[in-house]
Amino acid sequence: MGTTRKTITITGVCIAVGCFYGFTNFLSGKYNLPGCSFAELRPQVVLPMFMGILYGPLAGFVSGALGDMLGYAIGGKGPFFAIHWSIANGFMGLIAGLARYVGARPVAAISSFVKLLILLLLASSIPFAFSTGVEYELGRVPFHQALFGFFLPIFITDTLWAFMLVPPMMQVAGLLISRIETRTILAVYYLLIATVMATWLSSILITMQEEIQVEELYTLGAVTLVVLIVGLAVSAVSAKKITAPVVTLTNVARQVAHGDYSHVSKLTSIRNRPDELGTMAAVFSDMVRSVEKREEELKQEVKTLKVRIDRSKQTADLEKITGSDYFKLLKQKAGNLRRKACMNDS
Amino acid sequence: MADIISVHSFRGGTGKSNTSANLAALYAMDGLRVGVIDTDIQSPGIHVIFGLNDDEAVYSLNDYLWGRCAIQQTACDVSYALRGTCKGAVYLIPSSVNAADIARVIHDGYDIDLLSDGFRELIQALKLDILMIDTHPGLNEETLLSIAISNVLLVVMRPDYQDYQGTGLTVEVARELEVPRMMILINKVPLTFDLEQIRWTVADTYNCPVAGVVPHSDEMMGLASHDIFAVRYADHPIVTELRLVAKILRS
Ligand SMILES: Nc1ncnc2c1ncn2[C@@H]1O[C@H](COP(=O)(O)OP(=O)(O)OP(=O)(O)O)[C@@H](O)[C@H]1O
Ligand SMILES: [Mg+2]
Repeated sequence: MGTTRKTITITGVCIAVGCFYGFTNFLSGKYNLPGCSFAELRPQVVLPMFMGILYGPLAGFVSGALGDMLGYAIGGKGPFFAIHWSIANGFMGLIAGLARYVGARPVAAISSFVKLLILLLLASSIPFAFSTGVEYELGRVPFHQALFGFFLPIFITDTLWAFMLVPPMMQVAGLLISRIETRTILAVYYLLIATVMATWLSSILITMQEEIQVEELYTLGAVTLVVLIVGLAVSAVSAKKITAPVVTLTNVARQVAHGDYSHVSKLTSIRNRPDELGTMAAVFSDMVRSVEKREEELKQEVKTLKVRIDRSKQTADLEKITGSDYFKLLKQKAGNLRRKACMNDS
Repeated sequence: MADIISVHSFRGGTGKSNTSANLAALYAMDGLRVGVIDTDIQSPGIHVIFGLNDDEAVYSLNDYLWGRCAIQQTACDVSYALRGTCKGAVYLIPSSVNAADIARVIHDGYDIDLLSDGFRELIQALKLDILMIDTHPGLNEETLLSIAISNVLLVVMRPDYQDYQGTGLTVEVARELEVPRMMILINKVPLTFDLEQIRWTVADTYNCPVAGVVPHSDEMMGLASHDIFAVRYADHPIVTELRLVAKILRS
């Protein structure tokens, strides 16, 4: 019952988002990219991708393909006007929908963030390489036009949209978990991607006004994308360098809390760092070592009890007490009382 | 006949009063009717553990010993201190905290027959199953008296050199007085000790069975005799050990 209702909900959401995607596609239809008769400025491409990430490959495919067909339908061209492009839109959502299977959802570490970006890159390239290929194979466009009028404009622009918009959407959906790793990289990431996007959009604008060759624009765009990816890779590695020791330190601390001191040796390499993390690791491992030593000492210190009694003193003390008249009287009375109690009992 | 259990130690501060109060509470939780008598007339204290103020009791054990009242009149029902866990009853017979009363008792002493008659009347009047006697440390005449009329003696000691000699003497004196059952309770044992080793070393040294080995507990210390430990920390390992002690003392 629960799963059926869930399936119905997801189907409803996919259709709704698909319709919205279609309607916005219809609206953006006027804004073709420079040198393109077909490819437009479409920030909404992130919608099918996000559907895929949220609900899986099938949801991504349905909302992407359905939306694209709907866009043509509203425009009066009929839903099957460019079926290979509609299929490509579906695959875009589908590829992003693989996130859950490759460990890119939720994003909780730099490695899963990198996987997410690679998926978004693939989602913006493979499907459109396919649909461009179909155009070329059908002999509708020459190779040069296929590359500079279809593939590159779409690939570069959609990748940038996806890079810029999908991470914040995931953050809103709670799929981007605040860990020291993700925090370290996100600040730099947003700054970088927003700058590149702004540059890209203004380049497009300038190209349209100044009649610059589109080949130059898209070559520049491709180079920018490569530089961006290299930059991201470098910042991922350096963020990892900052956070990895913190994660190791946390794990070792957790084991120490459970009384296991054997993992402290893992901190040796971190200790050698010249920065604050190195100092922290050094202080921490010294602390653990002294705690361990103290615990060991305590364990060994007093384990056995020795009781020593001076027997001759005891005998003398005993005689002093039992020799008194009071004691003799007491003993006698106590004996009588017990005998009386016994008799009462029986 | 009800059991008269004396809790004693040669030196002060071993935990007699807290042990008496906790054992009494554990018995009452099992549905038994328990009387607790504070015969530590020189430095009374156990009433504090049961939450009784110094001026709350109308009559004390002193009043009975001086013929001012019947023994039943000195008993305060303190079952409420168990906060709903009491299936039997706990009655406390406090000692006077009045300095003049204390001085008079120390000076005059009191008679064994009077005290033992009082115990018997109390047991009958309140239909008691157990009478616990919290004693004054040392081996003065009044304490000897308490030991003499009990049929179970629990000698409390700490693993402390100051306690060893005196505990030996107490055990021998109790043997002379022919107390039917005698056991040792080792209290406030640091956690670094091997509890089993302590148990057999003590039993062997004093030739006397050990009823229990109770570790030192910061919670007990922190409670500062302001409540009954067994009520507040029912699941604490110390309470588990005391439950065993309670059982052994009556078997
Ligand atoms: N197992 C224990 N662990 C820690 N503290 C304890 C333990 N047993 C008793 N104490 C503490 O020791 C102190 C003395 O206890 P208590 O008053 O029961 O001893 P006592 O032998 O009756 O003393 P006195 O001889 O003065 O009557 C109290 O503060 C009590 O909380
Ligand atoms: Mg006491």
